[in-house]
Amino acid sequence: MTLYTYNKSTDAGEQRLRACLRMLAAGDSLLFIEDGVYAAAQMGKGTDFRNMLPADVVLYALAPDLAARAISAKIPADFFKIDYSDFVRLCLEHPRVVNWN
Amino acid sequence: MTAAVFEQPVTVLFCGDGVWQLLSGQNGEGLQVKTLARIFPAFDLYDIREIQVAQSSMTERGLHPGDLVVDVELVADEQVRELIASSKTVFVF
Amino acid sequence: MSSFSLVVHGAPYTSQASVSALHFCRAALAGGHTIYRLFFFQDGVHNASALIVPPQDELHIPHAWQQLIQQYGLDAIVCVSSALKRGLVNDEEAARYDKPAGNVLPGFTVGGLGQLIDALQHSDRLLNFAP
Repeated sequence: MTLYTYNKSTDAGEQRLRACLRMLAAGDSLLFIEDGVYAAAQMGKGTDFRNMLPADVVLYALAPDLAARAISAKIPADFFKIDYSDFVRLCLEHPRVVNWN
Repeated sequence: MTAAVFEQPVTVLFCGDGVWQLLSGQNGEGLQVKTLARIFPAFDLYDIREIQVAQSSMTERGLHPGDLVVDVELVADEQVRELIASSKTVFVF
Repeated sequence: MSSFSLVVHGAPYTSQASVSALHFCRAALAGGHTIYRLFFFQDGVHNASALIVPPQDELHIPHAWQQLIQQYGLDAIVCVSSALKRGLVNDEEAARYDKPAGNVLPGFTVGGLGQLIDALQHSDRLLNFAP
């Protein structure tokens, strides 16, 4: 039960994103923040990135970062869009947080 | 190393492009910069014995254990997941 | 209620890291949690600079940190080894190294890596905000 955050677009390296995705285990959560929300837009069901994840990983994107980039509508439907207070709560609901920078 | 001084049990994991830092033969003199790899043998002085490298990162980059400046334990992705799951705090540098 | 420590690795106006940390810090405090320590590390030390002058229509990031630090009495540490080599010095170090002035904003304290390790021992959660 680990909360991961990811903060870079795929231009910063698809290998970097894959390295993070490989770390996720069943029951973990993954929150896309900052330019990571651009990567989230490429995480739709059936994509190679998505297929790397165990089925029960919960996916989140930080709403203020989506709004700033006008990308909210491009985020796959099964992502939860959350604000900073939810981010704080998620950190506490998971025994550890890994900021995959 | 500071964490080890404060007697916190530390495991150092190199993954992704981080594994390049361990390549032996580095020499920063031409650029007048510190040679990064020289610091890693000091892990031993700080009693940091758990130095792990992600096998998948090595394979992706065509690297072998003999290319590195320190003795490391190669670990599979599953072991990395277990390491993270068993750690209180994870720093990503 | 829980305690957080935040490690800020990014310089202001270079990446989003310091602004993200600022918003997280505000949200944690608003939620009734405590901030055990803010630790400004590597390029993050620039958040403590007293010499930053952003355009008037932009958030003044160092002042926003300072306001939060003073309002809530937060412990805000600037890593000394990161700071010295990036030109961030308090008055004491300015005198020691014969520099014309110190430039660390009031509210920030220059300290060592030991305080980072102490933070990870004593906080419920420690988060890293990096570029």
